[in-house]
Parts: sequence; structure tokens; C-alpha cells
Amino acid sequence: MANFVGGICTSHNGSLMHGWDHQMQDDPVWAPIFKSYEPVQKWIIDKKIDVLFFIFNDHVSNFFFDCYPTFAIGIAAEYEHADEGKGPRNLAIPYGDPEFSRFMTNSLIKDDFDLTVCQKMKLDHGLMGPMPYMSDQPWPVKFVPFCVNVIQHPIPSVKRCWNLGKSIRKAIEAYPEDINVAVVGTGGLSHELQGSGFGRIEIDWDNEFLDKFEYEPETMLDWDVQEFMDRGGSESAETVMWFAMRGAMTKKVRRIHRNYYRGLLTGMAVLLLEDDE
Amino acid sequence: MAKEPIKDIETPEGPVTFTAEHSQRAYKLNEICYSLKQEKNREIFRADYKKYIEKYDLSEFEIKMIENHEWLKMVHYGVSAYVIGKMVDCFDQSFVEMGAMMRGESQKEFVDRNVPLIKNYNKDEEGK
Repeated sequence: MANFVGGICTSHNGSLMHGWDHQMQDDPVWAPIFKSYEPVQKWIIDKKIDVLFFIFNDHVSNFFFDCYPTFAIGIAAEYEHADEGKGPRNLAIPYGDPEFSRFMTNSLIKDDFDLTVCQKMKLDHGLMGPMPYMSDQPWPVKFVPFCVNVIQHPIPSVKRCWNLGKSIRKAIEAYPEDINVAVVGTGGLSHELQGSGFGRIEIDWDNEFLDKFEYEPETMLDWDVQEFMDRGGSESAETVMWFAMRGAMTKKVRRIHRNYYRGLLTGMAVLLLEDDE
Repeated sequence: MAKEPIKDIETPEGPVTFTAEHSQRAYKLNEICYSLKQEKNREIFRADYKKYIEKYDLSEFEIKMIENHEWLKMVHYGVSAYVIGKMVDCFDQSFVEMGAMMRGESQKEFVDRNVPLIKNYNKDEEGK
């Protein structure tokens, strides 16, 4: 049976692309960000993670508003890199696990999550922003990319994403192959990119959120998405995706790693949790 | 009954929530920006954007927003900032410059106010 090993949450701000593509690891401003992912890198290797079930959002790189899916899962054997203005990025090929992806699809749809099923998907910085920081290349893991609409409102609620996490966990543990799976939730934390408040960051709220998310996530399940937007800026609506990761875990968790940086446009966090029950 | 074309819109202070209604209203502008994810389209747009947008049959108001780089007005109208990012790139502007303009600032003013660009606020190791 497949083994759920733990969960990772990370921001996926676009500047992570810049930092990686310009190889800023020795730049004094950027070096701490590269370093902040080292515990995640080590964990992925030590725990022999085979597959990352990767919950993120596309930034109108793959999907357009002619047909914008609320939940979409990739079932391909191989994915492409999106062209976000400078051509597809020079990163290792992300391989998929079609059999596991299809199993997850069947199981989640049976659990009333009506997914759009994608045989092709170009991965943008929603996934490939943080990924090069999380692991050396070629990637030691396979990917199940899972897109959530957090751009075109209305978007799924916190509770919906939390329940999605529960179903993801159930499905992983029902998979008959002996593989190690981690769930990744991306996005956030505070940022606002549309309107006169461009660049808004809420450092105190982000840190409060990280505490609540770790110790008492259930206190936020009934919050309207608007509540997160009011506290952390319009684009912090993305935080709902973190709840899909957290919903997959036990109530009590063990923190392996956490950090938080204020970036130019985004509150940037990395969080690595394991079950503690 | 055909609606009167929009001639101008307000840009009140505060955030814009991009909704399906926005997305429909500004569909063509979003579509132009989205088309710029392809290198061959970027080349044509960079060479002569006025010609590039001709085939989209935009209103005068929509064309003006592009010509005048009115990014704040665009997000209020209904263009997603993520796709505007693809267009500003073709005008050799950065995403940060686009945002600073929404604030009514220059890129330099915005960046200078936020130095250092990355700062540790871990509760346990603040200031490191």
C-alpha cells in the first residue's frame, strides 16, 4: 500500500523563478531563501519520496478563461514547462506517474470531487517556482500536478479544499503499490497584485496564520475566502490550497521545518510537517 | 439590445477581485495578453502592437488602455494582473514596474521603500 509520508507548504511567488534562473544562491539577499529549502531537500531524499501530489494554481500559462477548470489533475507520463515570457525554462523534465494519477482521479471523483482530467499540462511557477529549491535535478520524484482555480472568483472554499485533502489522503492509502507520497500545497502568503494596494504584505498576519495553520487549522475552516483576502491581500486567496495539504494530515502534526521571509511582493513561507498521531 | 460600449471606468482605491464577470467583460484584452505566451506572437506584438491588436476588434476605450499603459484601469476593467504581466513584458516593463504604476509610483520609489528586498521574519530568528 502507498504510504503518506508528510506535507509541504510553500509560497510560489514569481520571483522564485528569477532567483533560480539567475542562479542567485551566492547573492547575499537570495542566499537565505535557497538555504531555507535545504531541510525540504534533505527530507525528500531521506524519506525516499517517490511522488509529490502537487496542489498549485496555473497563472493563465496553461489554462485560459475560455474554459477555466476549478479542479484539474494531470495524468500524463511527462509534463512540459510553461513559457512565461522568456521561453520554456531550462529545467529537468518533470515525469508523471500515470497509473497513480488515474487511481487518484478515480478515487477523488468517487468522493464527489469532479475533476477536469488533463493528458497534457504545462507547468508554470505555481509548481516550478519552488520546486528547483526543493530538490536537485534531475528530479528524484514523479509528479501528480493538481490545479485549483484561485484566480477567477468564485474559487473553492477553505472547507472544500480541506475536504479535498481528506479524500487525497484516503486515496493515497488505498493505492495498492508500495510508494512513498508527500502532498504539497502552494501559494500565499500575504500579497496583493491588483489595484492601488499592489505590494501589500502583512508580516504579523502571516506569522499568526502559520501558527494557527499548524496548531488549530480547524478554527479557520468556516472562514470565507474574503476573510483571508482582507487580512492578507487579494492574492492571499491562494492560501486555500494550503488547506488541501493540511486536510490530508492528522490533527496534531510535528513540525520538521518552518521559515518566513518578507519578499518584495509576497510573504514567503516554507513549512514541512509530519503526522503526529 | 446591444449595450453602449464602455467609454471609461472608475479606479477606486483598494484591491480588485478578479471575477467571472470581469473575465467576460475584458475577454478580448485577456485573450490578447494570453496569446503572448507564444514567442512568435510576442515577436509580432513587439514589432507593431497596434497592428497585432487590430484583429481583436477592440473598443476605442480598450485600445487606449493599451496605448497609455493604464494597468490600474485594466485590472479594474477586468484584465487579470497575471496576463497583464505578459503584455508589460513585451513593452519592456517589469511586473514590479506595472505594480508600482498601479500605486502611482515609479519602480524605483517602490523598490527603494522595500529595501532589503528579502528579509527574515522567522519568529525564532528574527532579523537574521
